[in-house]
Amino acid sequence: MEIFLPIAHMDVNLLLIVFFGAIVGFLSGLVGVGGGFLITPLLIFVGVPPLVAVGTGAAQIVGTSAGGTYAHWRLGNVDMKMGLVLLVGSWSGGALGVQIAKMLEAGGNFGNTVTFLYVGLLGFVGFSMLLESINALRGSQKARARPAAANGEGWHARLPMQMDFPVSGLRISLILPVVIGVGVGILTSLMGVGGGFIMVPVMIYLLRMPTKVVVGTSLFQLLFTTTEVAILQAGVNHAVDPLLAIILILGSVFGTQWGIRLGAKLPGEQLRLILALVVVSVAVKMLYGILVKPDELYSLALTR
Amino acid sequence: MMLRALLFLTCLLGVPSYGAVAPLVTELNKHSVDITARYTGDRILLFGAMPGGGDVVVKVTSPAEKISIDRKESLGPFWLSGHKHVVEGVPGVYYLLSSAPLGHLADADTLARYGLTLDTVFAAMRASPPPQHPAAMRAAILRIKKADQHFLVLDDAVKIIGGRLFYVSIPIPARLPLGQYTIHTLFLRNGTVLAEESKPLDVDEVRLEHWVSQVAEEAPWTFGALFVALVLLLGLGLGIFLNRSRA
Repeated sequence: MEIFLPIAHMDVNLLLIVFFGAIVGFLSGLVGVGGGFLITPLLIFVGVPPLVAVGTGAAQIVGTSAGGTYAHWRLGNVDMKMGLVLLVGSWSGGALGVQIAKMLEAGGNFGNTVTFLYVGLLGFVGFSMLLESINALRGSQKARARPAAANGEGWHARLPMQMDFPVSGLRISLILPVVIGVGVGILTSLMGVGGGFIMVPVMIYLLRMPTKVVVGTSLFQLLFTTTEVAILQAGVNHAVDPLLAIILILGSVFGTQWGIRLGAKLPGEQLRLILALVVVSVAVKMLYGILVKPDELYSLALTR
Repeated sequence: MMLRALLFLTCLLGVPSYGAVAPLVTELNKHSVDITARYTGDRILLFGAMPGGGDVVVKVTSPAEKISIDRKESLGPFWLSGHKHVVEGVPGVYYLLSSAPLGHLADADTLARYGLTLDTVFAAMRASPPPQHPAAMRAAILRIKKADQHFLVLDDAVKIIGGRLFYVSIPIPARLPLGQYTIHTLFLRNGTVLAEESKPLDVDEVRLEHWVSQVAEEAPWTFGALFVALVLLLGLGLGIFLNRSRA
C-alpha cells in the first residue's frame, strides 16, 4: 500500500513505515533504550533524503517520549533544575547543529556526514552491547573497573560556577551539564536521535545523579531538545515530513506497549543480544553502502 | 472514462468531413490529475481525429524542475557524494509518444525544431557551479530520468484507427513535478508538420495534502511550531490513554 509523502516528495509503503515504527518501539519497550538511532538509518535505506530522515526522526521522538516524560514527572522523577540547565546547552547545540546541517546540505555533504556519524555511533554502541550481552550470557559477572568512579571527584569539582541541585542531592559546576547538553543537541540535529543512550550513562557515571531521577530527567531533556530541533528543522531546512512522522509515532507507541508486555516474560540477556545484533547489522549495512562502488555514480534529487 | 472516449470517437467517425482539410482535433478524458496521499500514478487518455493519412506525435512536458545532482567519488576506500550541482531549466517530465519511430517521420532538423528529440530538454539548462564534464552530466540526467520513466520515447504508443482517428494512453508516474503540463499533438505527413494542437493538464495536490505542503513551504516556522505541538499532544494523549488501559 503506497502512500505519497508531501515533504520527502516520494512514495513509500505505508505498512513498511508502520513496521519500522513498531519494530523500533518494540525494541525500546523491550530493552528500555530510545531507539531513535534506528529510525533514521531505516528511513535512509528506503530512500528518504538524509536531511528529511533526520528532521522527521526528531519530530518522531517528540511524539514517542511525551507520554513517558509525563509519567515520570507525575512520579516526581524529574530533576527540573538539572533538566533546565541541560536544556540551555542542548538548545544552543540544537540551534548550532541545524545551521551546520544547512551548510552541509548546501555543499552536498550532509549525506556523507550522517553516514559516517551513524557507522561510528552504531558500531560503537552495537559492539559494546554485543560484548556486554555475551559476557552476561557466559555468566561472567565480574564487576568491571569503573575508572570514573575510582577517581571521579577530581577534576570537575574544581571547575567554577558550582551550583546546588537539591533533587539530585548534588553540588556541581554548571559548565559540565551545559557542555554535555551542547554535544547532545548537536547530535540531535545532525542524526535525529534523542541521545538518551549518551545522556543516561553520563548522568550515572559522570554527574553521579541518583538512579531514580536519571531516566525521568533524561526523558525531560530529550523531549524538549527534540521539540526545539524539530521546529528548527522544519523552519530552516523544510525537513520534517508530517505524514511520515505521524505514521512512525503511531507505529512505535503501539510497538512499545507490545514490547513492554513481551519484555516482562523474556530473559533480558537474550533480548540485549538481539538488539545488539540489530544495531551492528545496521552499522555494517551503512558501511557496506559506502565501500562498494555504486552502479550509478550520479544521483538526482529535487531541491528548493 | 474509456466508454465516454469510445463514444466520442464513434461520433467523430460519423461526422462527414466537409472541405479539403479537416482540422486536427484532440480531447483528454480528464483535464487534471489530483495528487493525494494515496496517489500512486495514473493514466490519461488522449484521443482525436486527424486531417487524413499521416502520423501523430504527442509531446508531454511538465514545468521545469530545480534539481540537484551529485556524483559519487572514491576517497580512499569509500565512495562518497562529491560536489553538488544545482540544475535548473530541465523539464521534470518529457514524453515523446508517436505512431511510428520519430526518425522515420521527419529529418533531424525538423525534429529538433519541434522539440521532438530528448536532447531538447537541455536547451534551457543552467547548472551551478558549472560542471567539469557537462556531457557526462547530461548523459547521467538522461539515464536517470529515463529509468524513472520521467523521460520517455515510445514509438508505438499512438494507435491510429481507420486512418482518421487516434488515441494514446499517457502514463503519469507516481512521483512527478507539480504544475501545468502541456500535451502537444503534432500531425505529420511526408516529413512536414501540417497541424498542431495543445491541451493543458493540471497536476496538483488537492485538499489536505495541498494545504499541508503549501503551509510547510510558505510558512515553515508556523508549520513547524504547530506540527510539533500536535505531535506533543498526540504523544501525551496516547501515553495517558495506554497507561490507563494497562492499569
